[in-house]
Amino acid sequence: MDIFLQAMAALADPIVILLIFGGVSAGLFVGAMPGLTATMALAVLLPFTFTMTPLNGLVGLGAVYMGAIYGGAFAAILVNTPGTPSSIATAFEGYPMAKQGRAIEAISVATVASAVGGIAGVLFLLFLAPPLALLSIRFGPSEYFWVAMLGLTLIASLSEGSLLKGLLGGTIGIMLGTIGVSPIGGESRFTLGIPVMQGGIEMIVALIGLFVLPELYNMAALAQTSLGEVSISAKERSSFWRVTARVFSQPANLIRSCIIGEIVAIIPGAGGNIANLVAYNEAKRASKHPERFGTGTTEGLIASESSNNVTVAGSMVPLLTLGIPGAPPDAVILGVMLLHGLRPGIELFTTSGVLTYAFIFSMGLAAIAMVPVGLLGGRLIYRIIFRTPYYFLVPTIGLATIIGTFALRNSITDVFIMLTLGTGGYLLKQIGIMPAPVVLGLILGTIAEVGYVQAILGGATYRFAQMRLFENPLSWILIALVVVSAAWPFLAALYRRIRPVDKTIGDAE
Amino acid sequence: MIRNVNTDLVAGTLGLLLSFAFWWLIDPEITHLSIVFPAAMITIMAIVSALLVVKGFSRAAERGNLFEVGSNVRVFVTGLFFFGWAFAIGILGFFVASVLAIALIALYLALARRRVSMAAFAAWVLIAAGEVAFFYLIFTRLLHIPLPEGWFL
Repeated sequence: MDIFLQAMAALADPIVILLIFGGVSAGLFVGAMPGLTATMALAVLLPFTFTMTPLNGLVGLGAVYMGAIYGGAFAAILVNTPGTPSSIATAFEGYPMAKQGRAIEAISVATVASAVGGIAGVLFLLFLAPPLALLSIRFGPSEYFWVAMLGLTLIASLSEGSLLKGLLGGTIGIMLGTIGVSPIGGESRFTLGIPVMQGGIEMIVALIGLFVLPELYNMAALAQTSLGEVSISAKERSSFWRVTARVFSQPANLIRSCIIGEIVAIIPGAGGNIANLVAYNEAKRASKHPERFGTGTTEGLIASESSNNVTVAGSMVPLLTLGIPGAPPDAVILGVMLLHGLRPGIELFTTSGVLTYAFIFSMGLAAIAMVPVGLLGGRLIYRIIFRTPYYFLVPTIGLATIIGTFALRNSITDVFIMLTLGTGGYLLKQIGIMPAPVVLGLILGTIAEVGYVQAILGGATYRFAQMRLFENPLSWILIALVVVSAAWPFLAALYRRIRPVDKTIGDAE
Repeated sequence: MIRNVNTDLVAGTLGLLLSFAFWWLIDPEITHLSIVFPAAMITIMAIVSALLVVKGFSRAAERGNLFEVGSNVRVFVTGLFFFGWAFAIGILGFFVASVLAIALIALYLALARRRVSMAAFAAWVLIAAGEVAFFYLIFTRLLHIPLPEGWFL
């Protein structure tokens, strides 16, 4: 209890409060821009945290993450373009509402549902993370290897398109991660004799390149002009309290969507982009009036927005306990933690407990801050975003990525690596290999390598050293999960063949 | 746009080439501990790629149009601008290279949709200078991160 009070006291600082409101506003701004994701927001704003204290850095980025996921709803509601992939289902109901002149009502519903989801995610994190952290102590090298493999198979099976392409993307990421000095043997690998490559490919550099550059190339290809402004009547604005009551009048929908969001969030590699669609589909299945979905019902909107915001804090469960990012934006949070010498696991909840719990509570405050920021500043932010011409947006984001990449290690080589990976990522996307598996491979590859090599060293007395990977019951459970997740696309296809196809998404569009 | 491409075959071939490249780059004198994991991953990459090639020749092969969104010339030129920007930073210095790059990229992309007068372009250069100055001051003065200097700032 003492640790909780100290954590709350750490948040009673004007700078922290300012960072929460500033972070939510900045996240909202980026999230509302179609094509700019929460990962991009965090990656671009990361260098600003370099000189901050660990708490301020984590609080700031946590608030940006929360704001960005919520911000995606703005573009989804007002122009039928999900600002982030987490708001796809929001567009199904929000846009029809906006077309009916209920834009502010939809924004209010999304705001309240997002705040509820954000707070629910924090509660899940508070209660699930410590027991999982205790479990993580039992993890040896072989278990870490299998957890990394699980993360890779999940991202592969959940990524759009084929499992094989997802796996290929994952292995490409792993191999990129092996460039440089070996973490166990200490020898250089795949450096082409270039001394600067011995430092390897910095995770954040790859993250910025693979996620930001393809979007910039897309914007350049389309030469899209600013999207049109939607008129919002003053009369609608007064409906906020009414819609707030309506959100809370659907407790079953809220609770179900939050639980779905949390389950999806815990799975490494899956995030708000999957949670919002699953929760929307389940809300439709449970509704008394499923035929109204797609015509502007608040049920679907609540399901989508509450579930995607649960994933923000919810996906921190595997991150803080096992060091495995639950979603791509968590990789940036992991980067900040490692930068400040914080290692995921039980130590985060004991030695660094005050900092960790303060970070968790700050995300709850960020969820509450979304209400005033979203309702008061949302309209202004929306106008700025959609009036910025694309031809200024592309080089301005380019400037932020170049300066951010350079600042990581004061290295212009990193800028070239970022540009090369980003351009490569754009080309890979064309043939169906998405950036997410590559990035997850890069992150999980190092964990897998250390686990694999240490397990082999531990099994030196065995006839086959690799047998060490298969001997613990915990490893068997993880292996079973790896097999199930790898087989999931085939099982799902079989299920679809047996049952008639659910036309939810198609109908909604 | 390149129409109706067998993306499984392309991805599989690319994977096999990458597997071969990584295999070829293995130093024969490297110790077992340093290479055991990459070697295992190269093998997995090669197997996955081979399966993609096999799938590419089957009826289940995925087909799609490549580079079908917007202008590919604009993507190519924008990419050249980005790489040129990074090269120019080392020669001209961060501030000057970035102002020039932002103004030129904005001009190039804007010309896809509208005419740009000299007066408008001059205004854009000033806006770009303001943007870069904002970032420059934050990084050098507030965050104490030195930015590259060349012939100029």
